[in-house]
Amino acid sequence: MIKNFKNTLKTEDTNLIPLEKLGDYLILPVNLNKEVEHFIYFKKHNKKNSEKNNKLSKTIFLLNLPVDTSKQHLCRLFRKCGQIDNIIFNSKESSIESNNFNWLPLSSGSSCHLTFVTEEGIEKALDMKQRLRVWSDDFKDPFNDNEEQVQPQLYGFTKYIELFKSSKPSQNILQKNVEIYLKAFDELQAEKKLNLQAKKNLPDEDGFITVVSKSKQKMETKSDNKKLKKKKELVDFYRFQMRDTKRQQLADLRTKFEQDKKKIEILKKARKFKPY
Amino acid sequence: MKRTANKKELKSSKKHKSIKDDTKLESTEKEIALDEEVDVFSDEDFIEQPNFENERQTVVGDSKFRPPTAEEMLMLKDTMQLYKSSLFRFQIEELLKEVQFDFPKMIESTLHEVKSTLDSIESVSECSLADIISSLGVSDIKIPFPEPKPSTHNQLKFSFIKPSKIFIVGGYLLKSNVKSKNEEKNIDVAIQMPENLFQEKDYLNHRYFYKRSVYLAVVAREFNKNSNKLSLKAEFQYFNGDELRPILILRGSKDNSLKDISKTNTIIRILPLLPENVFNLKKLSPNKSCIRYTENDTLNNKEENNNRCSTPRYNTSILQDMGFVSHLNYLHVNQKKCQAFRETVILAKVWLKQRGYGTNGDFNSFIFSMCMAWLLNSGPNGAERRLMSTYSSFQLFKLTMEFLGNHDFEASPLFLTKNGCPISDTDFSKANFSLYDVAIVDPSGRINLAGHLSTSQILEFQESAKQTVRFLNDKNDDKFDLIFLKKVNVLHLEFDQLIKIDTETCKPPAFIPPYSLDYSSSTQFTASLIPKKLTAGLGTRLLQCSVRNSIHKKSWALDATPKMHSTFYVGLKIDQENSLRGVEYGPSAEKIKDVKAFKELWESKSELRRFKDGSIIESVVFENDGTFEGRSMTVSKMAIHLITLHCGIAARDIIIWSGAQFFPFLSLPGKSDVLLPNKSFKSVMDVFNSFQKKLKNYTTLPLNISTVQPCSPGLRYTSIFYPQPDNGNQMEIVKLDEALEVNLEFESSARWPDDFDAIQEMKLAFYLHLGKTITDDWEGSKATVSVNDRTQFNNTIQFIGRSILTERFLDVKSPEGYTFRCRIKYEREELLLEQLINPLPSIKQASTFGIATAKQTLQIYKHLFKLTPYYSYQIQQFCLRNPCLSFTIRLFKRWLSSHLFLNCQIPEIVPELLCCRAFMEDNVWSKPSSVFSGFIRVLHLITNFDWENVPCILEFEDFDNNSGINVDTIVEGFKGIRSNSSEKGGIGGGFFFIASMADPKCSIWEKGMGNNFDIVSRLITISKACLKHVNSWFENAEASDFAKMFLPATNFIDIKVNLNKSLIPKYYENFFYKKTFAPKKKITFKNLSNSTEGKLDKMEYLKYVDPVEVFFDEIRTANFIGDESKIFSMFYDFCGGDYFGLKLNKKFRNEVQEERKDFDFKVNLGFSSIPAAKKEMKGNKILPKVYLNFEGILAEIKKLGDDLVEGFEYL
Repeated sequence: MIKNFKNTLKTEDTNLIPLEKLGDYLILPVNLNKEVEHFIYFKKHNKKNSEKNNKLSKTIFLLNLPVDTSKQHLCRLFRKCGQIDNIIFNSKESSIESNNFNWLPLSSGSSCHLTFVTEEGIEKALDMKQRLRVWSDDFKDPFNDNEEQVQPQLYGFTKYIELFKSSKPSQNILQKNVEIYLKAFDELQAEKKLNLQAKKNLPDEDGFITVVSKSKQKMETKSDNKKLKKKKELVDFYRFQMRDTKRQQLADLRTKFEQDKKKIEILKKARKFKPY
Repeated sequence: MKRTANKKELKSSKKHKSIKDDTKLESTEKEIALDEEVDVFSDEDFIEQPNFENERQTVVGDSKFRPPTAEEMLMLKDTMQLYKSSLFRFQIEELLKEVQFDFPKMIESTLHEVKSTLDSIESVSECSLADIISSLGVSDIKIPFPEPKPSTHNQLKFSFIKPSKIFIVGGYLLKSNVKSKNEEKNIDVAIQMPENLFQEKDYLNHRYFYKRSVYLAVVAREFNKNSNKLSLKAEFQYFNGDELRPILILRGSKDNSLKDISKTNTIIRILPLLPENVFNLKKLSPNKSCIRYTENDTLNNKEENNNRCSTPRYNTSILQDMGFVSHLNYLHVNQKKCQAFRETVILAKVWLKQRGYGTNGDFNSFIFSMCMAWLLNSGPNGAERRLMSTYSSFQLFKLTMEFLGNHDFEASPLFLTKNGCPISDTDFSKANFSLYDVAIVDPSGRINLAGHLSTSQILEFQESAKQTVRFLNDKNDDKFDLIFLKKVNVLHLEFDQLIKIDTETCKPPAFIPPYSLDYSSSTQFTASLIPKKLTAGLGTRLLQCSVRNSIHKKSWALDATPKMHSTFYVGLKIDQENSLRGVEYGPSAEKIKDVKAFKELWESKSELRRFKDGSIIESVVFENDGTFEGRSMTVSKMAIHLITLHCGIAARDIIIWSGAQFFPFLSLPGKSDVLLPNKSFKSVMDVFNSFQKKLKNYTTLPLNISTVQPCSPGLRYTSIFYPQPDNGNQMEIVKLDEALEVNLEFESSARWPDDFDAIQEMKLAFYLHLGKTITDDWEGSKATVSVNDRTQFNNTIQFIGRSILTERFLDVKSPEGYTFRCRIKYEREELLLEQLINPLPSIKQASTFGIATAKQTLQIYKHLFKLTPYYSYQIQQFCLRNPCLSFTIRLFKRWLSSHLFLNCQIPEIVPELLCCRAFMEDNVWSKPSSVFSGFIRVLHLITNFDWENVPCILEFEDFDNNSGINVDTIVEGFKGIRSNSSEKGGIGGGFFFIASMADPKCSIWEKGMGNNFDIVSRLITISKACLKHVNSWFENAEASDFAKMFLPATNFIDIKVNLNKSLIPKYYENFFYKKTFAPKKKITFKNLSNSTEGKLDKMEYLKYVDPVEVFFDEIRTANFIGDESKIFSMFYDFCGGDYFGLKLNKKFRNEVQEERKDFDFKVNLGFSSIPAAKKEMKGNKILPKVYLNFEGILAEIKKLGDDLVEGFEYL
């Protein structure tokens, strides 16, 4: 099998045109179905100031991946370049192990970093030639014979059924998991408490003991309802008071008047006075 | 005290006009609501110390505090006292400016020519009926004789002498003409017929009206002859809809000559009048019979005959022709006396016009002005006068409306005499005027100005008047536009049910002499009969009944006869609750008199029945099947029955719009193939209530359940279709079993862990425990806990609106087959999430959550556990109070869904709230009380609400003062959001800003939904089109047209993604359902089923999984669809739609259709691209360009959907 691959590669090398370029990137067209092409762009990953220099030189940066991209897909695509060490998707970082049915689509146009085991892989990748490439995850890793066969990704209704099934786990298992979690949580809490208790009575480096109150007392802000005895003031008694009130009232009226005038202007502009 | 003292001083000084105002106002202060503020301006200290003020001014330096000029003071003061507010005053002034106009100069010369033409008409010497008909016939004039036409044996002699007086009357003279868009402006020219044309007894048997018609016809001939010269075209018309009194109208002949007045949209009306006292007034009092009826007259007693056959309407028609001049004088005198009189008449005209009054013999501005003029002089029953001549137009208008709105016309006629009492002449007594439906008697005490008004017309007017006064008194809200600017007279918005009667002849059985004599046509009689019968028959179901017929507005050519084909519209305003009653209870059998009346009303339909409470009474039963649909038909059934019975109109000539036409849209197209037992919400609510009770009674749980909150539309009466129980396995067609969402809350406890993640596990433990408890206790029930943690990843929640809170739940299936999806609400979660977002420095991050996730989760928490239950409760309660709201909401949602908006662009709660708003709005129309009016008013709300500038606030309950949230704070918050965003050039807070006490910031819109201008303006356009469509039904009714409203326009969609119908588990809801395409499962025979036990057929999963919904989520995750930043906007009918509509978002559209839009290539473009051949140079660098990989994306969509996607269709 492997020998055959190498043979074909050699013959193709001489006949075919290298990949076209888009800026710094190489354009790698793949066929989603018989007619429609999708364009993946990739280039050598060269980020400066990185510590793992040796690993960097084995990494390519891929852009504009199809939304259903899985590791399998990429392994198949670069199968002729060599063994793949690791793939990191930039938009998808699942806390849950994804399998053939609970995979999430990538967002359109997203990217990933792909690291080959050897530097040879990256050279071969950059030297890829134009030819028909089919987008598929039907691939058995020749470098990993021991590993369990990875199931091809499911799509559509079949996938949704599996999803539904998995969302209804056996109630017993669920019960057990919950119990385990809560037990662990309780233990953790107990430990924390112990730690706290221990801290309480141990002097720290400077020889002080931190005092922690058992129940956090609510900080009761003293109510501001102090009834300030207001001095009784006669309103509208002195002449100046009356004058001031009146002046204030006039001012208020004027402001109101001006405001209303403005409002009317706005309404007028909106031509709101045409009754019909 | 101080105030009056000031006044006294000022009184003595009498400096300027405002003082006069003051004194006069004093006496009426209590009557009119004036702002009782301190009199700012009459303080002498203030005014008369300019020096002091100047000092102050320099100190303060604020122009607001400058000393007021006398003029300014006057103005400010007037506004305060005479108007509601200065804003209102401005608005009135603006309105007056807008509607007033002067006739162009050319009209004057036309009027002169009209006068000289009238003066030049040659006399016609006495001749017989036949002669005059033939001589006018030669000139192609058909004399507009009223019914009954004079018999050929009539000995009456006709002659013509030119008018003894010609004068201009009406609005032209009083300068109170009002602009209107479609209608012509009238100039009224009255011609007084010479007295010697008439004989003493001509008031009898239509003789006067025959002579009047001939007179008019001769005038018409003259104008017809000179029509080229004058550039005028003459036509006949009825005066105020009175068929006894035709008039002549002169229109511009449209010959484009200089004289042509058609450009000015003016018509001249020629009204023939009588001199005063031509006939003996006593002979024309309301109780007199002026039409002698001889045939079959079996009544011997002459007195009784007179009473029974009195012809009040006929008499008033003659009297009005006689009194016209004196009435005009009366108005003129009063207008001179009162400055604001003219303005008030203009306001009244606008008001009447907006309500459609005043054109067809109903309450018109003439009656209004007469009443107002009278109120300026005297008050009812000798009381003091109500109005002062110094009042502002606002006050005159308001007080006149208040008076007219509250006068009980049924109990007593209104006498506009000096002392407000009938004159001493017994012929014109109160009792005699009570022969009219409505009587407003002129100052002479003899002529009824409202003789042709029917009771229903005056009641309708009074309702409007009362409402307007209420609006005017509203201190919080400025309702100017509702009073004057809004067009009220819109058939489809005014009424709950609308009946159209389209008939050539109506022959009411009761329209026989002598009862018919007083009516000039059966149409007129029927128009007044229908409201009477319906009011009597429908009882408390009916609030108001109005008849609209437009026949009398039309003019007809001189050589034609008026078209008598009559189209009535009968509008009903009904009482929501009472209207659903199917049984009308009559009097008990013992009350013989009442029984007789009841039987006369219902005839054979009335039956004597014994009821459960033992009473034996006459009653009428309209059967129904007990559903809402059936019960809401009662009113229409009764109305049709009564109209056919009493008006002699065939049922086929009657069309009723009651909402019944909408019922088919809420019945399921595939109902015969899937088992659907429910025809109401009752069954599901019953099961829910018992479930709720069970939950609350469980004592074996670690914590007791304190509240159970329904959160599903199905549990608040608003799901488009009634929730149906799972029908087991009998049917071949698979249907989705939809769960009903419920929130549970436990009693408070300190034993919950203080950690968000741990709480989730704790909840899981609760679900498991609760599930076990329920299945043990409730026989036949099933409980399953679901966990789907796929939605959440480290940094963000991938599925919009879903999170760990929504995807973990307990499904409880009741023995009846309903699934309740229970989620536990725990209040502390909110706090913990907030802490995750804004961590206190002392607390370490302990969760697996990122801040972004916490933010999203918090939003979901608020949505799921706060807003949804709040609105569910409020809407449920509101539905219970408004019986037709539920159906309206369901219908509106179906409509929205069929237009591909619901759930993909507009969240489900939005239409529900919009409907509630339409039911609580204080509008010119009373609140909707039928499905018909409800639905139309929601559409109207959408199209007419000022979404950009006003928040739509729902006041389900009184605003709680403690929370600090009220209407003002919401409005303020809204304005803040809007003005912030307008600087950035967008609409902040979303286009539809719908807020309430629980949600002052409008957070009901989910991310990615279409609360933007594009989507909303589309919705508004569609609503407008539908309203227009509704309006067209009334002209040309075809029931099948209703379906058009529910057909989506697909012209805005670019691509249709056709779905595999056999994988749509809600396909049976599709309007175009066909059994052949529906999802079917393999039927397993019982004897063979053992082998496949435990394994479900693939198709059977459709009962639990809606692949369309998951697919929708997936392509949204792939960023293919979503808000404007994504590639497509998506449209889908979640009621079993069989295609997705994709619209390419603006970002990707090129102005030039053929060219593809190119983008600069960069790393995070966010969409799948194709390298473009086109390149751009920037300096030395080549900037690569890319296009959107359109086909590639479609292929990806197809790949994700797999067998669900059938193909694509480019539109």
